[in-house]
Amino acid sequence: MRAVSLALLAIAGAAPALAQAPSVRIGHSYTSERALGQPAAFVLVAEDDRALLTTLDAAVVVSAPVGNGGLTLGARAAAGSARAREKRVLGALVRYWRAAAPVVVSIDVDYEADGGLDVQKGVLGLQVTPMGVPSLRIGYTPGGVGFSWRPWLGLGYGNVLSADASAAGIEPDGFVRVFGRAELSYRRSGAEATLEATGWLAQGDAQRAGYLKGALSVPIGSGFSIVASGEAGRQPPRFARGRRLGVGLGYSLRSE
Amino acid sequence: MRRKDDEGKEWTEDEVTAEVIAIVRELSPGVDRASITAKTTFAKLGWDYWYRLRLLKPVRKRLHERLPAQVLMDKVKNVGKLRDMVWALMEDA
Repeated sequence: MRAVSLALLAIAGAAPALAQAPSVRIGHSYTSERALGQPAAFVLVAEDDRALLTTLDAAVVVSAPVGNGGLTLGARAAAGSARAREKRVLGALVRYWRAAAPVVVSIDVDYEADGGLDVQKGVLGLQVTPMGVPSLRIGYTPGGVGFSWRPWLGLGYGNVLSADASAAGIEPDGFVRVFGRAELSYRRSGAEATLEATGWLAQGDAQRAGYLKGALSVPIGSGFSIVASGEAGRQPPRFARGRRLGVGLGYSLRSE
Repeated sequence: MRRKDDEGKEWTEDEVTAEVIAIVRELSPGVDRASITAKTTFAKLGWDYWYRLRLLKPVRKRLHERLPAQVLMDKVKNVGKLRDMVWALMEDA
């Protein structure tokens, strides 16, 4: 708890920088750039024999320049009646990233909780990704049409801030996670399909977990899109298994 | 009108434009070089959000200016705006 709190205070010390030219973005999630690039989505879900349900996936991010990088504050929610309370995810983030050619290094403090706030965790994380490698299509698609991707490698140290009895063993207090993430996208004719695949090596009952999240969005104007999205696998904080497909309305904002 | 970069070299706005376009072309293999102009957006070239950071080093080496990285990624959407940013960072000669 102390390590995460101290890191949060250290990063927040740079918060006055947000007074200069912050940019605001609204998207699907802040877990990756492609997820943030996808619209926040309100989706109607037909699942088994149940009545029509909803999901909401949204994130808002405010970022501002600090030194040779930037400071980001964010909040996200993966919620809605289609998700059981323990499968909903709420999060908040403070992130400092820095360009250190040929890579980008990011240090973040992430608060993550389930829908009932029964399980809450704070994670101090370090992530790295190459700035871009055209020959491998990392961060670059010639002419903006076709496939590109971006890998991230990360390490996290976290504390369990609270846990109910059923979740006590998911990760121990003072846990360490290693994770790899691949963001993939395919663009054609203004539409974009994205896939975010994350794998964790974690302690406790979570052990090895993977989570896939995909979306296809077709812009219809004024920031709105028709969005088809799907997700499958296990993700923090509870690492509860889930699988879902849906079609709905999306909205994204990127301030200039 | 001429401006000086951080090493004292003097540039006209046209020279800065040409150098910026040359840098962008080198970072965009597989794209028709003649199609890259001041109006070309980085999204149209196929650059993702983080790829734009690859501009930092050549701009520092060739135009002798340090781009603010977060501003570059959040506010600079096309080649012309990149040229404007570099030009604005230079001082009057």
